[in-house]
Amino acid sequence: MNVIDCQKVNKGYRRTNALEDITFQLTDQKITGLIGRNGAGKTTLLKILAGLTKHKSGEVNVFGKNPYNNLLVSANSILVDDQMTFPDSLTLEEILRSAPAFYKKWDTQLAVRLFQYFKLDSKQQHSKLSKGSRATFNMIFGLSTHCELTMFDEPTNGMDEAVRTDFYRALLKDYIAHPRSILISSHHLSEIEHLLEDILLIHKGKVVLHADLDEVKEYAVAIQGPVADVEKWTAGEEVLHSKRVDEQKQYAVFKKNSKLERARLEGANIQMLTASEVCMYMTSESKGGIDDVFK
Amino acid sequence: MMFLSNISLTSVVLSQVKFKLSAYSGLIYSLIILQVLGILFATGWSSSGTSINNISINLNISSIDSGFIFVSLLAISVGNLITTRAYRYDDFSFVATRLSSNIANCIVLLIFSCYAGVTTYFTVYLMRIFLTFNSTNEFVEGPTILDDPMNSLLTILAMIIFLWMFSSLGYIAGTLFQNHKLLFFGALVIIIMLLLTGTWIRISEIIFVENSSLLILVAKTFGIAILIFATSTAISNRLGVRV
Amino acid sequence: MSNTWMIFFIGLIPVVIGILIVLYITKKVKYKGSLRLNKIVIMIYFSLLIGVGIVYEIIPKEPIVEQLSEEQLQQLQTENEVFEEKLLKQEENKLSQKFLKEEWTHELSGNTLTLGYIGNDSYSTKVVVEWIDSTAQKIEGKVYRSHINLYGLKIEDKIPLHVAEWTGNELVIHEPVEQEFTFEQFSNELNVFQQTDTMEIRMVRGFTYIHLKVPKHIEIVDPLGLQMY
Repeated sequence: MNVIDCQKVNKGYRRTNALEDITFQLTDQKITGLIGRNGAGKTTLLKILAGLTKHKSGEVNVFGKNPYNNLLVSANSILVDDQMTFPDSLTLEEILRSAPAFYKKWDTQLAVRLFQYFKLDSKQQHSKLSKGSRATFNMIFGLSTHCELTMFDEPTNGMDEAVRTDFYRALLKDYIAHPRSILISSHHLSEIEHLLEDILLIHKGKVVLHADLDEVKEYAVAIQGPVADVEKWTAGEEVLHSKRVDEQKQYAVFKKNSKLERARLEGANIQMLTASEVCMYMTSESKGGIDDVFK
Repeated sequence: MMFLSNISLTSVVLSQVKFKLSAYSGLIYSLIILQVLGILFATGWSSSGTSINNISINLNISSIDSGFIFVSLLAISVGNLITTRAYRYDDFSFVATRLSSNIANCIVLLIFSCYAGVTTYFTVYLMRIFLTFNSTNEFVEGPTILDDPMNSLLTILAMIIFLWMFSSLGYIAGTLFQNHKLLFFGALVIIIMLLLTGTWIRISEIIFVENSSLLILVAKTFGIAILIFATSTAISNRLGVRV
Repeated sequence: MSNTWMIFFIGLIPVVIGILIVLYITKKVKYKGSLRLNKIVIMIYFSLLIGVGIVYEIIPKEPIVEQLSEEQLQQLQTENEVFEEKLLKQEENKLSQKFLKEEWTHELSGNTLTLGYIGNDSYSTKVVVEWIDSTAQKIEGKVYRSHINLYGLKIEDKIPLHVAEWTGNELVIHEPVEQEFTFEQFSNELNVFQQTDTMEIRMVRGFTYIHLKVPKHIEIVDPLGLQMY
């Protein structure tokens, strides 16, 4: 069953288009990574899915309902981001204690244990927390809701290395114990790659790729060889990225296809790419790289 | 297999009300400060003096009016305060829709108005006790609750409903301001224009002045408050969160 | 139109300033103390006020000034009017005896009687002269005072009488010595809700009447116009 079903979703702020014809489906009980560069529209998409903002056109369905102003969606989904606020008049402990009234599947034990593990101060106010602690608290809150659709928007912003690792581990363990749909947005795919089953890659407000992790890895390859050869091999192909390695050699990234075998036979140096690299090349602005700036 | 938690609007609203009552409990200090201010201004709020046969007679009447006016200002402020961004966003960290949020706010403001109305009514007794022990002047017998319990209850009820109506004014102003600054100033201009024309004065006279009893006034005020809250809800329906 | 503007803005300024001050206070003191403390304060404050109300209702209070009702005031007013009417018609036997404060006779030495008044408000005293057929020099006088009531307060006893004093042939009326009384009253009503001012009579103005029975041959000198016809 589809947890999320988006058809041609558009959203604009003033003159810029934040989302353009976003179409994808998300089936349940998967951890999906929402990957994109800064400003790709990840946050906007998540806010629409959580019913916080309204999309301009197209159709958004979460649990078969339009999430905007829908109680069922609100009760079964949560968006954890660094803009989450809680009243200053309540301590962290009181916030956690008032949550079960709203979230029927709230896991008090998990919340308490994580809270103790991360050594948060139960008498502290949410806004007085440091950036990292606030992110940790939000994460604890989000995980403990056990919402059928749990969304994290850049959850590890501000967390230190150790907490990040712990967070991913906690997420995975809790997911295995209570399978549900989890959507994590990040611009560091490499950091969350080991968690993900699916990747939803968006760029400039458009879905570029929606596939499972292995497919993404297979999607493109890098090839290195003499300049002329590389140009021959990639002729007519969709070259995602190319650069001069030195005087004679050229490096190119392109979509995997049948020509590849021939290239291999002709002595091309073919390199497999990581999912992270594929995503990076697919969303790069130009064929060149940062090196071109310094030419 | 998904197991969606089904949750009714009523239960969400109730949870939100309970949560907001705790979250906004700090407002008690503002209320106390304003009620104390009210008491300070109340002594001799209405003072009249006449001279007859070379004897000056002064009568100082201490009433709830000053306290009520101060608390009314608080009601407007609080109504406005809870429409501000921070307060609105807090709702959406939990389960909420704009409708449930607005209903919960409306109920919370009513509960606050009840508390404020009853306490304001009794601040006059704080003043009575204080003056009884501190003033050298003679006291005129005044009405007590026991003399006319129905009237006292009606006064309390009237205060509650009026405070609620004032909070709704703050609420709609805040909602308009959050939603559309332009719309807010537009509404302000329209209201000022209406106020300046005779018909508006006539309308408000019909509503607030020409009533055969306080109860009718209270009922009208209640209706107006409901109308204002409903309008605010309609306006805020397209308000985004965490943008 | 410009006048309406003026009134409107002048009326609006204190409201706006008030709201701004209150908003400031609210923001300043917003979150002090923990939820637990707040809850305790809310409970204590509430019970304190209710408690104060109950305590006030049961503690014995000093003798307090009674307040008359609208009807009672109306009645006093009517009594005053009837009295004056009857006095002017010189129907002495019909005069309410509760207004009679003093009675005296005086032997004049000449044929003139001068009326004098010491004080600020000579209108508070009215002299009614009844001519009698007599050749004697004796003048009979009666001093009356009708009901005085201010704001419905029952304080008639506290307001001293005018004193009429003879110095030779002059009847001098002395106003009482200046005095000030302040009364405190509490109201449980909200005046802002008062639909109409229910108290139509705020004051029952009482007068001092001096009823003189004067032989016809005596001439009355009345520079202040105290005499009433």
